[in-house]
Amino acid sequence: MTKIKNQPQTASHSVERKDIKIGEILIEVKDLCKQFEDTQVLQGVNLQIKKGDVVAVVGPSGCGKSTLLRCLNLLEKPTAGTITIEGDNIFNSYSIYEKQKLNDINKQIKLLKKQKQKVSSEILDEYVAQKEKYLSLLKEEKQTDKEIAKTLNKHREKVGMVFQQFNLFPHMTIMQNITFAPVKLKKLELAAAQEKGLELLKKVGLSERANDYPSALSGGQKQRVAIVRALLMNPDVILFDEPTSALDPEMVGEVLSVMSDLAKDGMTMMVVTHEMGFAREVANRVVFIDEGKIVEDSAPQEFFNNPKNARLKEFLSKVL
Amino acid sequence: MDLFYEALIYQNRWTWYLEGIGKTLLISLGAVAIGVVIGVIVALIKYVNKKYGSFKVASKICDIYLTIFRGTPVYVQLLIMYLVVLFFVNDIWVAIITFGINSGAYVAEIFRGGLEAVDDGQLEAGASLGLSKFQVMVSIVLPQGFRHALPSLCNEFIALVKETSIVGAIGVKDITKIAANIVTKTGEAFVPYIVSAIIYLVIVIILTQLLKLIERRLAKSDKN
Amino acid sequence: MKKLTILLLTVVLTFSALFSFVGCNSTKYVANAIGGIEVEQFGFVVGKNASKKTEILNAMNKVIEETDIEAAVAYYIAVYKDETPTNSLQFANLSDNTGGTLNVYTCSGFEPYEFFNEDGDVIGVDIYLMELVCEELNMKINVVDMDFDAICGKIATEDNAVGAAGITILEDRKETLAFSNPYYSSVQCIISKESEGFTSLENLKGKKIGAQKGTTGAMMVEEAIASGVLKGSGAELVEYDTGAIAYAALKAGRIDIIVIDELPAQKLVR
Repeated sequence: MTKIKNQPQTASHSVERKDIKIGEILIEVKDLCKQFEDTQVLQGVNLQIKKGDVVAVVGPSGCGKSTLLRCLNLLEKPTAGTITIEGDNIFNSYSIYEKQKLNDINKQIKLLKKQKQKVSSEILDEYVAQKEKYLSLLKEEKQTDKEIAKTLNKHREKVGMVFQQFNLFPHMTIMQNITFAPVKLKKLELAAAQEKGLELLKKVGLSERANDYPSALSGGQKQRVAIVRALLMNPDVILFDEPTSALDPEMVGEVLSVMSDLAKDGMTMMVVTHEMGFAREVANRVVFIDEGKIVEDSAPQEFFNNPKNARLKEFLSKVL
Repeated sequence: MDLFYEALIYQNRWTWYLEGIGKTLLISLGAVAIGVVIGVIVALIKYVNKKYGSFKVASKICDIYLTIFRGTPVYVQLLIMYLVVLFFVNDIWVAIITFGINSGAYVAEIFRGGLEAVDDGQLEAGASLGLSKFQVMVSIVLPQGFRHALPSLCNEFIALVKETSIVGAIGVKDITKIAANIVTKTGEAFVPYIVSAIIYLVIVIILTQLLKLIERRLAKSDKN
Repeated sequence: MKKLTILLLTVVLTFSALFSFVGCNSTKYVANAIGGIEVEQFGFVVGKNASKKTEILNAMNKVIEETDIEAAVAYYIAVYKDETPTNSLQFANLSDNTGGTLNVYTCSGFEPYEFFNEDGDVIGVDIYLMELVCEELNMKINVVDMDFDAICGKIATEDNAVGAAGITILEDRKETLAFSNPYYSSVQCIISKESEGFTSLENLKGKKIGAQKGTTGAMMVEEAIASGVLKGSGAELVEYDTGAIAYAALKAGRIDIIVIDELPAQKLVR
């Protein structure tokens, strides 16, 4: 973990729409670590999401799958690692380890200074040089962090998210909910947004509800609206955080069918879910996370019929 | 009945109550206006500090303000303002400013509670759409926070009207002070104080109904 | 942390500056008796409809006649000046009294008639005399300190209650209260700057005048403004709960003048 990374990408964060072709990498994650208080939830995750992928993420509770998802648009701030969206760095920090190393070096220097005569000045100088190096690395990272923060919102526009608890805005109508962000962020004019919004609502079967408030809708309807809200931002990828876990069983189907249509239309998706049927039939990759690491990442056929990892076998035997 | 005559009708004393009502309402409204402005600003600073970590120093100052003005009696604050801090200010303004600053501390806590009652998921949804922290605060958190806080804010306003009854201590002729004056003149305390109590009651009832109406109007848009 | 400390220091310094500016006002004030007005008489009061009215009034009048009140006044003036009194008083011993408790209502802050000693007890000429009255009545005493203008209302409706608070004998008050014989006389004074030294209400044209609410001083000024020498002169009366607050207001520049009884006035300008 004390890997000293290469020079961080200088932030010429041009955040315009990039023309990514199918198969090219949209999101890349390296060495991602996340520590909550005393628990290391993510312990070095490496993942690539290519355009056109529909990735299902499964695993036991607490394994870190939701955390991983939420790190991708920085709703959770990782402890260390790199996250790149369409080639742009949105997170690149090993500072926690560098700080630790710095601490160690400082202690060494103190110790050496106490044994004044017995130590040659070269060894001391080397340690001091190392200290300088780490200090400057940390300083650089702070700079990059600041620059990244300025463009984070722009990157988030490309990554849509659908939450387990829907999180629709209760004080706005359905139409206002879905058009608020695109209009506010100047991606669409109001009229165009409303037109497109109505079209999408029709597609998910909710066009007559455009002027209702979220409190009047059922869970399944709310989630479908949430998906439209994410879609209207024209994202390159949509992240789904257990989208059906909070729904009554009768409504799960209608939401999964919308997601399935989306996948067919070519939307890149990453879905944390317990719905094995969806993983098997709609996803093109299924990922299993165990103890903070990705231990299996394969096509559904292989994943469900020929699991390699022992823990995965155990998990599948319980859920299938 | 003799008492009523003495207390109200003789020398048209009931008109004095009108002056008192005017002063009470003036001070209450002025104080509410100031209190709401201060309270909202302080609540926002503390909320943004809690959620996003900014405004560290401002937040500490707000904490000091809240501790001092909620931890000391208004009567004492009034006298200190009148005799020391605002010694050059007209007495009605001293009352308005003191009650405004005092009320602001309570409004701040009420409003902050309303803001914190807004689910974190709302903030996350806004962020995930690419909205800036400012846009999320203004368009998503504030409207909901305000609705949560509204009933308590109304209660605070009504409580304020009654709290102003101590301004007699600095010589301002509000409802209570006028009643006390009449007591001095007639040597009899029952009627004037009962009358002043009734006046406060009527004011409070009217205000309660008005505020309920406003609440209902706003709630209409939330529920169907 | 540094910014915060600097800010706090600034606030504290500003406050101290304000404080010293306002609090340590070094203007000297004097109290001068108002010339050409009636001398007031103080009396003790009991409710007109009180059951023991006659008994209490008799006891009061007896004490008034038999006690050397001037001596008591001199004694208590020395007490509030923190000097040793040149005379001594015979205090009543009420510990063995069995006839019940008499509630004595007073309003402290009116030296030397009723004021606080360093133990926080209300003492003074009025209290001393009331203790002697209780001795006569074989009752224990309970001194209650409250707002002056509420006293009369309280006495009128309560049975075992008397008022001893430098209350001036007024016809109006006689409607609900029964007065004892006069026990002391007093004259209203004007507290003004040493350079001004006013002695007449005429001097107060256009001034802001403070007084304790419910007192004859306040009544006098109010009448003068409504229909007397100060009518239409722009003079204004501001009534405060106590003489002490009025004096603080005077020093803060909120009012120009105070009108209050002679002996308390002398205490205030000391």
